[in-house]
Amino acid sequence: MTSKDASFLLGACRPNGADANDPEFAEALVQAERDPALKAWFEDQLSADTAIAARLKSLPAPADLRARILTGGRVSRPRPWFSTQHFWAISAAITLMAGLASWYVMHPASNPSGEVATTALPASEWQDMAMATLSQLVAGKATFDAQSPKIADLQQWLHENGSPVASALPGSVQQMQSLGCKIISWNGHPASLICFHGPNGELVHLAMVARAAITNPPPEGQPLYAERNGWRMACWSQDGMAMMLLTKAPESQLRTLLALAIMP
Amino acid sequence: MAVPDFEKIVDAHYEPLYRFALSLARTEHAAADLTQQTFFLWASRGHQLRDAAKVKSWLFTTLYREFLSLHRRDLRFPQADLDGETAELPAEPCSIADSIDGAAVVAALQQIDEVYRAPLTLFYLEEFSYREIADVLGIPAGTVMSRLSRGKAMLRKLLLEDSGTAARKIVPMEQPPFSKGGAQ
Repeated sequence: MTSKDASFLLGACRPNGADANDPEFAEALVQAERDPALKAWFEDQLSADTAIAARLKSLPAPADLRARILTGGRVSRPRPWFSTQHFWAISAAITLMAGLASWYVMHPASNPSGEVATTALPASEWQDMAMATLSQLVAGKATFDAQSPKIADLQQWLHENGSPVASALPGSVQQMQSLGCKIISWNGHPASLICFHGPNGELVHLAMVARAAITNPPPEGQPLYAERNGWRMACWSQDGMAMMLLTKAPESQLRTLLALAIMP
Repeated sequence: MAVPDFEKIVDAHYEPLYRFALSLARTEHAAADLTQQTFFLWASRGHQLRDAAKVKSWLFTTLYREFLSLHRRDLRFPQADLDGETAELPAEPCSIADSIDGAAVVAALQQIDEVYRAPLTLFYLEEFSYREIADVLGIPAGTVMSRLSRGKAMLRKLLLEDSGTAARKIVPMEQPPFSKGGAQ
């Protein structure tokens, strides 16, 4: 075996040592002991692979993902259809569905969002999630999904990717220079984050999620101002979405930004 | 060996599955959906699997197939046959800077063509040997080795470039290009 062949094989050797006893790698490891250049190369590979693997495995899954999987799994699991109990349950379900279908025909309703029904959660949980993600973005620990200085580009990108976005943002917000946007998943709903440079150099962020995801969504019209965990925020509802403008700058800057806004 | 109950399977595998999905699907929402869909399929079909040792590879294989079926049109397969390729020893040692974090690794992975990205992510998750990666992806073991060799070189180049800049932080941009699927 040449050193080239050995390096090709050793490149597939996992850095955590799980392949240490694999006979496929034994001869290549012997070759690495014989060839100092190959040994140095392999040690460098292992060091770099260990660092990359550790960083990849440090990425957290969304906080609500486990609960969503478990809830979905419970309703997806098959049951024996032939047991008496299930036979009657299915019969009852068919009867109920027939009744609901009749009711639906007489009382049609729409579900424009197309979202899977989930239990709404308090606005404070939505705010915490948005703030945590924004903090990661500002610290460089998370990345944008799309970037542009033009807000219209980001609005179009979010719309094309099925994430909530208001087509008409309050006047001063629409005129700010945007940095980028990110789609996150919260409570089973896609949510949109857009970051801007404010007129005084401060960072300003806009967060949007379906109103139906929140138990106590903000009112339509004039925004409510609040402060939470060092963030100043203005919250209102628009086009079926809960909107939240956030900054760490003084609240007066949020008020200035929204002062000329034409609220629906 | 009996297959463990649903909750135990979720706890054991949902995080590495999500990380694999994130490298494939590009956005957190799409990755979460892909992971969720994989477990829904397990919940409805997994009872057919009798061997607990195969649960992990079933889940990763299913997630990858779901991804392919959703994104088949977007895939671009290279024309070159890489199976006979051997790795060159790099002239200089490569070091991954301390400033690189998990998000940067995923962002770099997402810039790499899917044919390299999938085996590379599975390799770095360290859940599977290269032969098991070949089974999950449905390709020969030699191809996995070739793709790992080429993919690792691409990833390190991207990470070294990334570690030399502070562009991932939010800073004023003069005229940044409008890009989809990754931040600078």
